[in-house]
Amino acid sequence: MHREIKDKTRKALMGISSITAIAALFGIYYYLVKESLPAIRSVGAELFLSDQWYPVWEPAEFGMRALIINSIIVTALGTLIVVPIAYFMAIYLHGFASKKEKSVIRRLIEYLSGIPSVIIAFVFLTYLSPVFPKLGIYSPQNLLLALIGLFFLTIPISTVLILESLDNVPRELEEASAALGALPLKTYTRITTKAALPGVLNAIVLTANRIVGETIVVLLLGGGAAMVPRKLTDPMKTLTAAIASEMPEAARFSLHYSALFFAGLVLIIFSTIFELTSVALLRRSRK
Amino acid sequence: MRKFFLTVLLVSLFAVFGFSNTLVIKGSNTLLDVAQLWVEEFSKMNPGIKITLEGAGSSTGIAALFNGTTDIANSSRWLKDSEVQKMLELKKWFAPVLVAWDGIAIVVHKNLPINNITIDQLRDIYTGKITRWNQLNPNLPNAEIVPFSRNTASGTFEVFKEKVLGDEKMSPRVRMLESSMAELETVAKTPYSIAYFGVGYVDQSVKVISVNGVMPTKQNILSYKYPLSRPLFVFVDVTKGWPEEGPIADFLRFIVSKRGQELVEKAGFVAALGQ
Repeated sequence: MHREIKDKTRKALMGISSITAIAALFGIYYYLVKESLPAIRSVGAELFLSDQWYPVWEPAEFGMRALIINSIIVTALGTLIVVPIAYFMAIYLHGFASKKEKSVIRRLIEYLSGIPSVIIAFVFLTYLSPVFPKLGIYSPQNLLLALIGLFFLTIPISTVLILESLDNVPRELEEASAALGALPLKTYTRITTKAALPGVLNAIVLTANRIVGETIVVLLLGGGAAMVPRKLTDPMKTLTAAIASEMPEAARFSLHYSALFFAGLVLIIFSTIFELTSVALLRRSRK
Repeated sequence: MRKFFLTVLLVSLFAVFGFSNTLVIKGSNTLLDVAQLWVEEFSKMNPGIKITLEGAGSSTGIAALFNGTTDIANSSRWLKDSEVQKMLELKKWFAPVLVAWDGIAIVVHKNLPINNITIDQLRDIYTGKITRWNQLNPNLPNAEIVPFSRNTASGTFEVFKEKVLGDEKMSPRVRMLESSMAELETVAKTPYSIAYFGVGYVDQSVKVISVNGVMPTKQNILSYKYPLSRPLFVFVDVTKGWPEEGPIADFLRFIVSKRGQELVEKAGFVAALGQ
């Protein structure tokens, strides 16, 4: 009887936490939509179609196309480069590194993944940014510098996540593959990866989400120009950088304030799309 | 047990009174250096007052005054129409105290062979009509102009916008930076760059050029000959009356005193009073 009560309490607590989490998510969506409505009503499709981001001018313009495209560029390029590097690092640590080597490197990577992004941004701003003008590149803060900052920020966490999912694959599977004559690299990239696919996909989604939501690195290293860069060394500004730099000055309930909430809504929609894509990919892989 | 309660009571009382003697100052990034000097000296004279100072832009400071999250808002510009409108709606009244005069210095990279620029040329650069230095003058290098600006929360940005751009819009090519210090450091390291910030931030690492043939010297700023001259203010909430006593009143008296104004000059600006 006593045990039953304990069990029921546990279940109830778990239920409450899940409901709270779901309610918080819906709450965020609700407030983002609610606060965005004035901008959506007043600016309409121009929010997506125009590049004219002039929130403090008279008349103000709220074209977010460049900011949205920049966020997509940064996320796509970042994820496409970070994930393969993290994957091969994880494969190496999983299958080829010695036990001691693996333990030391893993600790180091875990430590790196915990470094606050503002520190990475400051170091790169101080030491790497001045190198660009010396190389004949006009803009010391640009898309490339922001991407380099993001690589340092996300490669460690992405590696740890992928490694964890690879390590969870039963050893027997790899041994069976080896017994059939497969080379280790082939075993890890084909058999282990396939078995660890849900975890790997999850790592990719988390990496993409981390990149799309990253603020301080893109704010300090991106150059703050609200235009679509034509080359890697052009300056640019993302949705998160716009929110961070402009929210403190946007008068509450003004159109500018509402437009920044709309930027937040676009960001959360991106995250949802990543999540749904990963769910769809997982389903397909299970078939 | 009794002793314990007495200690708790004393500590709480101390905490309450300790916290009542606080002063929060927020706003202009331009005024941050001066404000730091004021705070250091004022704290020495009034060790019991706990002061928090933050420079995140004039607009941020004035917004904080509306929210009641600051006691004093530093501002490198006058109130915007929208802010005056909001004051009327909320029945709040902010009073300005003129604390210094400043000129918005136009700075370029040290090696750039340019010594003067006109307001029209500045407008052409910042609106994106001119993108290469030799378009300004054939003797200048055939290189891309790298323009920097303060972000839109800045009072300096507002004054620049009003005095230089007028109704025209800033080109999206212009790189927005978060502070005057960031602008100074970036221009020092970036060939072919141009930026603007309060004259108090200028040092040897960059080159100041004249505007319409006038340099931002003390005399030219005070006489308004320099076209980008401007007053610097601190704003306080006087909805419940002018502060006659307490930390806000003491601090305001200090910054307009002889010593407070000497510190304005020390920071590189022009004193507003008693000079």
